[in-house]
Amino acid sequence: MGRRFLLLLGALWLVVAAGLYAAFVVLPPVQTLGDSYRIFYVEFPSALTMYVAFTVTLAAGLLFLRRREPRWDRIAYASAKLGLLFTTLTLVTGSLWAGVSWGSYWNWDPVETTTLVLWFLFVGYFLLRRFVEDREAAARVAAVFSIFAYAGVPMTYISTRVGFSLHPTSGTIGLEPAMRLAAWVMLAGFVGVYALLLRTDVSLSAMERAAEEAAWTSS
Amino acid sequence: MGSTSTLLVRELREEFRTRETLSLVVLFALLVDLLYSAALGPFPEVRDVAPGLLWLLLLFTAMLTLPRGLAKEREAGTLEGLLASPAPAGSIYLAKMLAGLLFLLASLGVAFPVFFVLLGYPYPASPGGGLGVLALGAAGMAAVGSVFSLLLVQARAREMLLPVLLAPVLFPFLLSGVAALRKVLLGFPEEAGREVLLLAVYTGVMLTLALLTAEFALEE
Repeated sequence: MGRRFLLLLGALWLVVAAGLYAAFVVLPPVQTLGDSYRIFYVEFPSALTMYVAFTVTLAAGLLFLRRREPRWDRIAYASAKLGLLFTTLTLVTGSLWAGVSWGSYWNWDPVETTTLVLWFLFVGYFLLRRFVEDREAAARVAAVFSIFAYAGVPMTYISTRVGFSLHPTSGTIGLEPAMRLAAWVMLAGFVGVYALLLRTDVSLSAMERAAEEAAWTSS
Repeated sequence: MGSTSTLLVRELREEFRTRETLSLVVLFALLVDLLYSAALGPFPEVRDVAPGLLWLLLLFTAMLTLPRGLAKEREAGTLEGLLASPAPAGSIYLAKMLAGLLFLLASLGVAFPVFFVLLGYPYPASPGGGLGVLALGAAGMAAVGSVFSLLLVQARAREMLLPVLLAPVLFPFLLSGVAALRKVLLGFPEEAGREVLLLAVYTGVMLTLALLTAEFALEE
């Protein structure tokens, strides 16, 4: 792999390591939740990166529908893969946090529930692509599906506040400036990792495609 | 839209001739009522869960009924002809959607009252309102389910893929719908304003998106 890739990866390692060090060693525990809140430094950037990935999938899908360049579909697909990864991470860390702080691992909290629905939407996206044979049709159909999926997410959030109104929402934790800084550092690290992985994945699938085509034309 | 009504009339005339789909849809909905009895036993305490059960009944019926629009064409060998026709994709979608909606409304008309009889539920406060909420539910499900059926026209394992795709997208709709229905059936329809608004907005948004994307779904 290229020098630049390794340098970027190294830099991101440092950023995330610094963030984690701050989160788990340097910063003090918080008033009500004590030490258990520290998982927030992983859960928060995960959740935001998940939304970034979802948005990129939608945008790339729309660009594919408009321009029909395979590049956009590769980006959409790679972003969806990473999105699923970060969604899973968010669900697991969020659930652990809830289990430790409030005793139950799942509370139908609006954000929690929306994340779970998002997980199913991502998985649906992959299944849809897998079950449509023609590659171009799969890309097109998946892009349309991602439009509906994306439109559903804000309504999912609103509906959980309306439909589950008896349940408490996750409160905001009082964050001092130093904590906020650590959170943003982690976010930058996570989004950086996402962007790097995205680029790598897109280049790899472009190379795969080129190799396939070369093999096809030379046979 | 002239082509929409032409296509819709074609759908209905075909259905009126055989009444196959209608019988299956209504029968299925009634069977769900029967299965509920099996699942819950005689005279269960259903007041809390009745709204949810009714919405699930609608959802299951929709998942099986909505793909029939295209499946019928495929079975009759008319699918290619339909797709190749000059009718705009939006019209094809709208005709299938409205036909699907009519089937769902018919099944609700029968299965809704039977539900209350079979499960021994005391007469609900506002049955007309309840049916109204479920009718709106049918509209939203038909809007999304029909466009997804179009998306799946070239897919394998359609019968399983549709529910898998539909369920997470319909989740907010279902959640609001159950909340709305609960309030209506318990006699507080005035309190259901926000939920019904959400149902209406969802249906409107999805219908608009479907009309905008139908052509992409039906490309060859």
